[in-house]
Amino acid sequence: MWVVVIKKISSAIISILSITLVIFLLLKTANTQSLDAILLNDNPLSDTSLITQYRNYLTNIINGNWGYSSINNQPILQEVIALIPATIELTFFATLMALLIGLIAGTVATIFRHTFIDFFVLLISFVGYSVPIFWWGLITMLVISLDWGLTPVSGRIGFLFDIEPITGFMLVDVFLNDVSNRWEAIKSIFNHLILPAMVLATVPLSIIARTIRAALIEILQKDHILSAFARGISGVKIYWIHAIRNALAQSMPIFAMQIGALVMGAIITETIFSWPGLGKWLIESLNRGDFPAVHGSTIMLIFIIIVINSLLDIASAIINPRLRKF
Amino acid sequence: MLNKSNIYIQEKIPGPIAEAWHNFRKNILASVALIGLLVIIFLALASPLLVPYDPNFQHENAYLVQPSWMEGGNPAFIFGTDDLGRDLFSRMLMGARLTLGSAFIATVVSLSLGLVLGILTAIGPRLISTLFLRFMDMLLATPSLLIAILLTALFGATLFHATLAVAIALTPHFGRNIHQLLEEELAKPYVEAALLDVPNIFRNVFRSIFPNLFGRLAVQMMLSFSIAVLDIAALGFLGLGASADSPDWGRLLSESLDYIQIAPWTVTLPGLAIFVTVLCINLIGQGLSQALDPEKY
Repeated sequence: MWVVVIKKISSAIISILSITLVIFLLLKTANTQSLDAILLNDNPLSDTSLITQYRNYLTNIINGNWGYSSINNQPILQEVIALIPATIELTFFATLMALLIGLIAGTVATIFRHTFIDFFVLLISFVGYSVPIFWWGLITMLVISLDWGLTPVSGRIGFLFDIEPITGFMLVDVFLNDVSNRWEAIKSIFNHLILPAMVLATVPLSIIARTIRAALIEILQKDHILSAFARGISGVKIYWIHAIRNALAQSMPIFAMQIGALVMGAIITETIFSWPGLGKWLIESLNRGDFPAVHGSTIMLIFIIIVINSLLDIASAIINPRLRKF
Repeated sequence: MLNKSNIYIQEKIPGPIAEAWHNFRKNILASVALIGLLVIIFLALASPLLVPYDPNFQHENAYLVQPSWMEGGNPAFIFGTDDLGRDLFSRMLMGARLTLGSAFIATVVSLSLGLVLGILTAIGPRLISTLFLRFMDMLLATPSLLIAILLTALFGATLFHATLAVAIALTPHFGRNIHQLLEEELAKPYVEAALLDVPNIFRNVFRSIFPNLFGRLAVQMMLSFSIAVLDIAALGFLGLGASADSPDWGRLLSESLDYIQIAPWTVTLPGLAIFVTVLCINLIGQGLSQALDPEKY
């Protein structure tokens, strides 16, 4: 077990090293002015060898010396850390939604296989997989927020509530702060959260539903399921204990592949719904030409993707012993 | 006179391609999608001949005209006009070229790169194989948007950079898949037999293994093509792709964002075009994989 953990951690470190190397080489090729701001903050080493420069760059990154915004001269790392909780909150709820609904839809489709319900779930998952997320976000906003007036158009919480950001996660801060009408505030937060989370969840949801369905169909044909049915174990028990758990463990790697797509979706969703997170800031910085900010948030997002991927790999090795290859 | 009639009733066994085509045609949804995609591709290719107006011409007194089937619509402008009086139908036809063309180029480039990497990692020396596999794993986790953002920040926003970013992001999907397929095939006895015949692994990969993989590569290609269309459109939407004077579908959609409430068709129709195209591609891909492996479904 520990071998797997060590292996995954080392491969994550290698990934991070090679990603920083690639970015460093890109920076060198582009040779922008703002490059010096990040790379050679303290040591003007433009005439040293490439390896020394890369070492300096890496040291700067590790030490949290990510340069200063060319717009307001704030240290980038602090801004990134202040913005990241909003993105994590949105992505977390979207993932939760996608997992729950996807799991249910996939299971229902398998139970009613070859019926209208199965066909319907498959068709919906096809539609969800094919929809361009920015368009989908705009349409839902147009219909649900503007025409029906059910949810707010943008932001994280109503103007009436003043919540001091302590952790940055709104739902945690509500309880840490002394707010008089706490339940109203929580309601407002969920009202703001539901639409972006739903839009962000659409694509992973479709993939999860389809993956679970395929995995369940494969598992249900196996001998141990047949023998369980023969022994008279109830269908619910067989599905829950013998089929769904195995299907989940089996589909873990495919879910892990969705992390990158989820981050990309989060950037687009944040831009559409004016969600004050890292993704929106990244696109705004790009349009402002604030290169250190773009660099900092890109690196942060890549780090997060790599770390979560390794964690998921380790988790699936814990759940599924067959993945513990040495 | 020669009697050509057969005494023995010979069963004619269709080849794999004919069989797949036969299975594919039975799938109504996929067949409709195939026809739909062919129509869209035809429209995109023939767009310079088909556009009713110059896509950048601003018609006077025809600002935000509604689509022809809506009340107040003008039959001269099938899909209506945008805020500057430009014909939306012409702009969408021209945009189809950019979106589908660059998505196709990205897919083909990543297929060729993926082929090189896949073959190299499957039959190459151990060290190179591990190195490239690690490299592909690293890329696999990185979304195309982040690559495009880096390229744009450093070298400027052009459709070329967007296409390049999508191609880079898609390469590991192909490389990984081809690597895995080759590994599976290399373990089979027929490869061993072929190696006895011609002891050159490189030649055998092309001559005896690849014909067996065409079907699954085609499925992967459809899947990647759909991702490429979506990604190119998303990059265009964020302003990282096509330029404003020759917009692709994503850019077209983002240009009229300010008018979404008074002129929803300027946003809805380009998005619908992307959606229908991607849905067609995905349905064809699904139909193809069902046709190749009918027992699994």
